[in-house]
Amino acid sequence: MECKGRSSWFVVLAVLWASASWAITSPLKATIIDRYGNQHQVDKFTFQGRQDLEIYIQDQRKLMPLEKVARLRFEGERGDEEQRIVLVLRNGSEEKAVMQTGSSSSPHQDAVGGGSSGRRFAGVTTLGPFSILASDVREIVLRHPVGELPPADKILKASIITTEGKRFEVEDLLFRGKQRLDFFRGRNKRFIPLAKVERIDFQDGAIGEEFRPITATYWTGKTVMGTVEASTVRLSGETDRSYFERVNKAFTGESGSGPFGIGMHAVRHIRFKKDKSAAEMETGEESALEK
Amino acid sequence: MALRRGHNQARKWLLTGALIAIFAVIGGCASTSSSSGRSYGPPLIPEGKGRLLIQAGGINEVNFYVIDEETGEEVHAESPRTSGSSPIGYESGSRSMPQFVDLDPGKYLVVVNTDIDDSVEKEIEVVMGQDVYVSIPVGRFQVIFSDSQGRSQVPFLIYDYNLRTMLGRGMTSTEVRYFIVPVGEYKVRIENSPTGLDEIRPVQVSMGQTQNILIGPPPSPAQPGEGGTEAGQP
Repeated sequence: MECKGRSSWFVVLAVLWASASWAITSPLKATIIDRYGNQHQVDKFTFQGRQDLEIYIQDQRKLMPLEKVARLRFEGERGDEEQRIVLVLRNGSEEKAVMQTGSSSSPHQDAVGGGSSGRRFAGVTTLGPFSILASDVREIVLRHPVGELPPADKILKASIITTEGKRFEVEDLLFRGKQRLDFFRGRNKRFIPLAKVERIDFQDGAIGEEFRPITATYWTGKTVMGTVEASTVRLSGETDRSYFERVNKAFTGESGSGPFGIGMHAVRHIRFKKDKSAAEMETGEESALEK
Repeated sequence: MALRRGHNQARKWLLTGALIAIFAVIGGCASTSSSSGRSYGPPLIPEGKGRLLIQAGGINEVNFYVIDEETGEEVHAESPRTSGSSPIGYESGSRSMPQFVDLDPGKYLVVVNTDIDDSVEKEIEVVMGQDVYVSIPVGRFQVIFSDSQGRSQVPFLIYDYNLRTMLGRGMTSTEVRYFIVPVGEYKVRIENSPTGLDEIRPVQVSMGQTQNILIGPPPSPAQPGEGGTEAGQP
């Protein structure tokens, strides 16, 4: 009798514990179609345990969050080390990219940490844990919650003024492929979302110093100060290409005359232009609040 | 007779009391909780708060910060690790508990900084009185560079697998030192022009696993009476 009472207490405690704690896992669901045409309905969908894809668009590395993707199609062969992929995004646009898929037939024997490709999609099916090599996948259709809006993508427009006084009007401004500027506050790395910033002023660092102080002013009036890496020194082991991109293509975008790129050491000011739709939305919200 | 029985009873009570006192003293010494209420393991969640726990595959020290999604303000930050390129960094191994922080209920963005440009971000919701475990997909590797003098400090670069983009830099150490990166495949390059050394090593980082990259002549086996040997390549 006493034993029964104890076990019921254990059950109650276990239920309480289970309801009081949980681990954050991927909320993504997907339908994976392999090269034989088999479909797999997968929950808690991830790629290498991550919720983003490492892809190359026009040879520039980019981390694409899976929550932005509606559909992903692999156009290469199973044995290809890297494959051309077509991404259909949730906002309707389509991107062609290259993705490292790793060949299942030729594992990297010299790779420290494993002789087989770790590039796998994983998740959970009704039958249990599921994983598949990226090279065995033909297509992935992501199933996002009905009614959930895709993350808004803004096209940032800005005027960039260089240290020489030249001015460039740039569209789709990105910092190393992202819409955020990484900076240091002391020795701590932080980021500034470029979509929320009105202006960034770069000050001159001392000669030979690798960092430049910056002051970013948000649209809300908040200011953030820190330093950014602006070194032009070539590092030991750096390839020509990575050195050129690091030094001359910190900020990239599109100008009237074509692709635009500038190094961190050469920027004096960045003035962002307020998105008209965002401004209209803000004024709409303000008027609604007044009412 | 009755007097004797009374004496025995009193003796019994005294013995029992003494035993209880001894057990209480021993128990008090061996107890995990102190008089101040502190104990091993995480303390209780303060009233009105929820708890965020970082699960980083056995890595108990990561640099992270938490942003309130409503206000955009940073509400908590911890930076116990030095930069990967700093020459003074080493593993202390002092922490036995995963990192945690007690927060007001609400939605937050947890950002974990790694030793490369890519950070790991997770959106979470903290509920009052409850634990939220955030799984951070990061792994770690160690670069052990040794020359004729033994282990030494040399700078190296961390690239993506295609060697297209430099993602970060590091400095090897004579001590144990790990570099934390998001799970994935990378390449490590050490170039030392004066000696003609140029090594490029692929490394596959998985969550919860530690990789050792040995560059240079293998360390000599330990002589009897010497300390432990270095870990070899798996």
